[in-house]
Amino acid sequence: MPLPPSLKRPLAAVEFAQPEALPMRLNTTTLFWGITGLFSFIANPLLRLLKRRDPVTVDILSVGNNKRRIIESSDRVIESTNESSTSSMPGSWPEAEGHAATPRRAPRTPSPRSKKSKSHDAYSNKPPSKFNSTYSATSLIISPKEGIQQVKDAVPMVDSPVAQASKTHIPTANLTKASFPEIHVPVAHISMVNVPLANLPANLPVVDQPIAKEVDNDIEMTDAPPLPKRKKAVSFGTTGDGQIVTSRSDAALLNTFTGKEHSAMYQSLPPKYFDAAKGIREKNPYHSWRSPNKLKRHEKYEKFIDDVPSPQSRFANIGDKTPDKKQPIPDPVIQASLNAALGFWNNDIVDPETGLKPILPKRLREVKTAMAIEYARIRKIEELEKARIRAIKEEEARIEQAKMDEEARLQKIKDDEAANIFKVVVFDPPQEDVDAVHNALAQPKDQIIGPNELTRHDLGTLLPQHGRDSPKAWLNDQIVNTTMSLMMDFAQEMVGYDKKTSLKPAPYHAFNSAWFATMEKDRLSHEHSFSRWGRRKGVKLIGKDILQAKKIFFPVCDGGHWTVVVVYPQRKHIEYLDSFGNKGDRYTKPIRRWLAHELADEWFEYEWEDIYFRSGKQDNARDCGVFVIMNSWAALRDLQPGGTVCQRDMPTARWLIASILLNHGFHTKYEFPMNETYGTNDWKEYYPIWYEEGREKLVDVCPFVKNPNWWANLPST
Amino acid sequence: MSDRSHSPTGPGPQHPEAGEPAPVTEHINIKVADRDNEVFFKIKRSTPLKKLMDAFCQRQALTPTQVRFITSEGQKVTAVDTPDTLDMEDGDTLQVHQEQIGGSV
Repeated sequence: MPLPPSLKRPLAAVEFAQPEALPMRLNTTTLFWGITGLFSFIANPLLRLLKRRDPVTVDILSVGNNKRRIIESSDRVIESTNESSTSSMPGSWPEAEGHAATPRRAPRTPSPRSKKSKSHDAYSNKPPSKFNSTYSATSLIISPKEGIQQVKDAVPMVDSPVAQASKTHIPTANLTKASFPEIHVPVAHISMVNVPLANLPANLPVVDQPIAKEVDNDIEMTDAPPLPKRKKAVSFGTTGDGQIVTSRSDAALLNTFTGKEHSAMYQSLPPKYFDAAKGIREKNPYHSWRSPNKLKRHEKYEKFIDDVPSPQSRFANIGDKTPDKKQPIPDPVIQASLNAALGFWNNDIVDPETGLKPILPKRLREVKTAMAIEYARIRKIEELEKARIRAIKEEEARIEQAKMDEEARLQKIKDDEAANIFKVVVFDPPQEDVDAVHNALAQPKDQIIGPNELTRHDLGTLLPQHGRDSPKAWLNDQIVNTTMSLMMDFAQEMVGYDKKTSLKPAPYHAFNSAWFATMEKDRLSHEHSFSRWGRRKGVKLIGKDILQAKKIFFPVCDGGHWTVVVVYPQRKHIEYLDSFGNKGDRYTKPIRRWLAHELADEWFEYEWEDIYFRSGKQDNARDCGVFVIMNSWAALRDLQPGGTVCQRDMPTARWLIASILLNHGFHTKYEFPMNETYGTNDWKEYYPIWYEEGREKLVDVCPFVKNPNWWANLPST
Repeated sequence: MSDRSHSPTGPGPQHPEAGEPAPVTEHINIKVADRDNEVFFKIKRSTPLKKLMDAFCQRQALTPTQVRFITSEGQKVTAVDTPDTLDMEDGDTLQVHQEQIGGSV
């Protein structure tokens, strides 16, 4: 019989599909037990969906020398039938000859377990494999039963390559998916036991030749030997068109095929019942154990399960042929096929005629090689991708490092600035100043000892004396206002502003602390009256000239707490410095109102930004006034207030302020550079930092820090 | 450096403007406003405001060192200041503030 050219190619002897992942049978099971035929059309799409995700892997083996046809799945037996003697030889389609499509289950007669069934294969000195039978692997059966039906319906057997191949015993490895248009099992997953063409004799019998009959007489159908009791489970799948396919799993077989985990999963599944012969599907008998009727049904089910021999037993039986039973000498072709089939399981078998080993190992090697190549390719791609990501990360890290370096550089600049102001704060008071302070403290209470009518009483709020002043050590307005005024005077001098003659707005100005008190008293009803506060000579902070000023200070004493509001008109910042770390909307809003009144049409609320929390924090109930002065000093020099002044500086700062006041200003001894290029303007990112090193230095330098109760030891008069 | 601390302590025309022709009125009216009370004074422009403050403190029974007199221009009045030095105008108000003291909330 002429073969189509596409079929003349020698094919791999054995191909098998890789076991696939287990289908989600539990879902399918649960679904199907509750679905009647009436609603099956509803479930069909779902099943088809499941099917699509879960292609049934079908390994087809067919028995060639008898009428059995065993359809194996890779992981379970899908169907096992015993064809009648009138059916066609293996590989042919019974339906093609007009037989009934439904395979019939041959009745089995129980027989005692044959001892010979355990003997080795007669045709091989190898131990019996799973398929130690004499079946030929020359034919093909492609799909489970319904799949066959599908092929039958869809592909005319006369013309299709299936038909040709089956009739001519041609392996069909080169059948494509197009050959099975209606098969829902992917062809790629169909594996066949094939024989190389070279091994096939020329006078290969065709399908119609009743070879099966001859062999049929020689093979005795026996029952499977009783297997050790196992929990058997029947699961079912679907061919994709809604048809239910039951399949029975056997743990041992499953172990062989797909591994223990499959077996475990199968064993855990609830049993299903499907009478393939009758086409009847019964309800799950386990649904109600307590019902006697259901129990009966269950027993029937159990009986059915026991009646169905496992495919393993059948295989074992087939090969259990001994010379005593007059086994005919096998056809060399069949022997070759058998060898090839056995090679499926044992790669040591060598073809006696060709001396070739089965191709399966080679095929496996090819597959493995291809997989290794593919994996290597994927690994290389992954490595490339990893290298790319690594390069990106390195680049990011480099940028991050650069950023950190830049931050460290800026931080160092600020640290240096802080160190500068510490040179002022942490000062070693000259002896004459110490004497001057002591001398001033010894004066009567109302004696004016400093500028701006500063009395000894005022100085006592700064450096309280035991028995004379309030131990609260709260600063009064005289100290704060006078110090701020002296500070501003010095700053103005440093930038060359002459407050006596200049008609320009003062670059730095500190309003009297009465500003807020007056504002509070008047309840902002006379905003115009505050214009006069900036109108006088030496201030000239009125109208839009305010925008020319650099810093305007508003010390606030409210509720026994000193804070300061600093306005940076050029930066349009309003900063509230509170040594308690509070937010000062209450104090910035009046200033916004004042600015709005003064700037009039130049005032844009959104332009002005509030800044908070830059001050260091006090840990007692007396130093807020000193914080106000020192914070103002730092802010005047564009230093970070919280970074330059801390709680521990306060005793020294008190002494320093006293010395400055008695010096009538910052001249000569307490000068500070007015370098406003200090620092950066990223104000909000720069939060208070405590300088531990500076504090250590301070302890060394300042004798007052060592004794926190230093004011109690001052000489009292 | 405070200008006021270095300014001469004597009353009288100290500013360059003070040397110019005398103001129109010799006397000015000054309102001194406490939190609760308002006291009006008529004072010569060259008279130190110390007299006014002492009179107010005496009337209100205040200690002079405990109160501060703030002009309408936001300046604290010291003993040596006169209406001329402070550029006060007729009808100006002196706000009287108590001593502000603070250390904590």
